[in-house]
Formats: sequence, structure tokens, C-alpha cells
Amino acid sequence: MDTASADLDPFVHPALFYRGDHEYLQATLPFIRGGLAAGEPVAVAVPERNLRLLWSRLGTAASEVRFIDMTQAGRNPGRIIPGILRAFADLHTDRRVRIVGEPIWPGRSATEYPACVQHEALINLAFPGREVTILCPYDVDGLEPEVVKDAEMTHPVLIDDSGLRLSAAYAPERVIQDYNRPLPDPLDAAAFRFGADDLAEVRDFVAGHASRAGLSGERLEDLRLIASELAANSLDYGGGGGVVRIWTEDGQVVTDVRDAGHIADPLVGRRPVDPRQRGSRGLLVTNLLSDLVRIHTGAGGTTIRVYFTI
Amino acid sequence: MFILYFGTVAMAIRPEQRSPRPPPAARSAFSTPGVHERHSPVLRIIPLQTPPGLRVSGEIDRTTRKPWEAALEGLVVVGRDMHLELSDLMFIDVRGTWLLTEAAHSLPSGKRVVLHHPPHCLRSVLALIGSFPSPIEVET
Repeated sequence: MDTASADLDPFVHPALFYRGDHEYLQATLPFIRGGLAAGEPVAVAVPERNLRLLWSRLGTAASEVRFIDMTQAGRNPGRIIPGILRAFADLHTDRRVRIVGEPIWPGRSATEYPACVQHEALINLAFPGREVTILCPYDVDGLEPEVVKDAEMTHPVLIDDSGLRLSAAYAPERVIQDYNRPLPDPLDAAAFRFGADDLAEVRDFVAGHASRAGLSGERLEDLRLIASELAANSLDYGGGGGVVRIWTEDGQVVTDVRDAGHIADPLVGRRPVDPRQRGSRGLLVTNLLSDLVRIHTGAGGTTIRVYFTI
Repeated sequence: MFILYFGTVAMAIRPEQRSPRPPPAARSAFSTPGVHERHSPVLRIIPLQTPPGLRVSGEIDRTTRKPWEAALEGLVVVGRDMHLELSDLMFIDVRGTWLLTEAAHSLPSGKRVVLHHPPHCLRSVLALIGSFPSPIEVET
């Protein structure tokens, strides 16, 4: 780690390929303890099982570490940069910050996975110049070999049982492009074509269908808000209108908004916005409130799809 | 159309010129919302004298944003604590909530905005985009 920290860019983003608890702890414990010893704030955002493992092994030092259950706070990969990584790093801009971030675990669904890889690639675009180290553990026994290959493309530095090396395959922009794929069409969706005067109807349309599908309370209100924000984005940036669709899929309510726009900024919706700054926050709020966000954007238009677990 | 009451003057304001509706044929391939009566957002803002503030009902989105922004600016000029009664506010979008935070920051130091019975969407967005410490208090 110290070798990597000496790189020109103060931002360090290694993948840790581990097999079993022993290798996991052998790499993460010195990383955490080293940070604490150096007076660096440390956060651990990993799945609950590994959270418990680290908690129990850290002893009294655990009280100095910020623990975050990644399966909850990071279930939407689009939430991890603004809601976890930047949220923690921005509290401590006067010194180096260390984070263990494990956004990909066995059991991530095929629908979630492309958003996970894009997130890992986008970390490299979100933190250059920052005094931040983000160590990303990958459970190579439980994950498919393709996942490990993707991790080699999204991390400039790799660590495994043979040590630390630069990744020859590192190519985050290519990964972002490769996983920008058309989203599969739903089998049976309700659809509503909206224009400039239809925002309230978009909200009614989505909330009505979501409510009949079983979404209720604050989650229903969150989805109503998101539908309105996505449709408003179409009015502002997507050619002045679009189509909103809604359906259910594997216990989730899924809504997407398609328009003629093209999103050129891959980090849109992932940067915290200064509270005093005027600017668009619709996609940021969408990322922070949804269980999953998938985006396909290109010359032919943009689809933003959000998933809410019922 | 939305109605804005300001002081003793009640103004009825029609939003900017509506764009033409798509022809029925183009819409028939899509289901329409359950209620076929058109739903246009309505915003009603009534000034309150003691304490100074506003009773706001209806919906705030890009259609009704301008009177909301103007009403907040009007209260910022007064420069006292600002009380907003929001129990009948049905919807406020992210920009609408941001305008509220901006108004709160523009008050003289020590002055604050007190929200009475804000809807969930306002509280959740405030927590996501607001600053801490915040000159906004929430009373449910």
C-alpha cells in the first residue's frame, strides 16, 4: 500500500483479490490499523458478514472506524460515490482518508452487476487529486472469473496473495462504454407519453401503478418524486418530452423514462452538490433514494430505469 | 392554472403558453392515467401575519416554481423568522426544496425557517441536499 501511496496521483484505488477470511483479514486489518496509526480517518463499507468479521477482529480500534453495511447503503451502486465515499471523504479534506469499499459480492444480480462495474470504473474519474485510498476487496472464490477480469480493468493497482502490482488491463473509460448497454424491454409495461404540461400526470400515473403493485408509504412518495424529477429532466434536457413506463419484476416496481437526450457526463448524479450552489440535483436524489438505477445513453436517446423493492 | 394570493390581492396566474397537445392518434398506443380528468398542478400561497410566514397548499414543480420562489424572496426581504404551514402541500420537487434552503441561508444570521407539517418528500430531500447546521427547523 505504501508503494502505491507514493504514486503521483494522491488517489489510490487498489483491488484486493482474496480467498477466504484469512486472506481478507491479512490485507484489510493492516490497511485499517495503518490508517488509524497514521491519524487517517477510516471507513469500512462492506457486506454485513465481512463487517462483523472486521468488527470482531479490530477489538477496541473498531470504535474509531466508521462501519457501513454495503448491502444496504450501497445496494444501488449509483449511491456509493455520493452517499458513502464522497460523504465520508469530504468530511476530512485536510488529510488522507482510507476506505475499504466492497461493492461487488456473490449474489449481486445480473441486473445490478453492470451498474456495479460502472461504479467501480467511475471511482477513478471521481477522485483524482484527492488524498483518498479506496481498497476494494473481491471474493474470488465466490465471484465469476469475468467479474475478476472486469476488476482488473477498473483498478489501476491489484493486490493478491502474490503481492501488489499495477494492472496491465486498467481501462476504466472502456468499461464505462462497454457496460452502457441497451436495457432489456419489459414484457408488460404501462406507458405514458408526456410533454411539458404533464408532470403532475406523470406523478399520478407512476404512483397509481406503484401503489397497485404494493408499494406504499414513504417509498411510494420517494418513487413519485423520482418519476417527477426524471420527467422534468426530459423536459429540460431530453428534447422536451419522453415516455415513462412502469411494471413489476422479481418483487420490484420498475419505472423508466426514455427521452431524446444524451448524457455526456458519466458522473452525473454522483457528485454531491454544495448546498449553496444552484444546479440540477434530480439525478443525485434519484441515485440516493432508489434501490437500483440503470442508465443507457447514446446518440439515439437516454433511458433511466429505477428499481424499488416492494 | 394556479392561483397566487398575495396580501389582499388575489391573482390568478396562468402558466406560460401551453404547447399543443399531441394528436389523439399518437397517444392512443399508451394508457393514460387512471383519472381521465387532466391534472394540472395548483399552488396556493397565503401570507400569514403573526408569526410572519406562508400557508402553502398544492404542488410545487417547474410549472408552479416562479410564485413559490417569489413568495420566499418576499419573506427573505422581511428578514424575520419565517414560518411555513405545509400540511396541505401535496408535492414539492427537488428544486423547490432547494429554493427553500436558499431562502433560509439568505435570512439575516440567527433567523430561521420553521416548517410546520412538511410532507415526506420535502423532509427527505432536505436531509439529502441540505447543509448542517441548517437554519431550517422541522416541526411535524
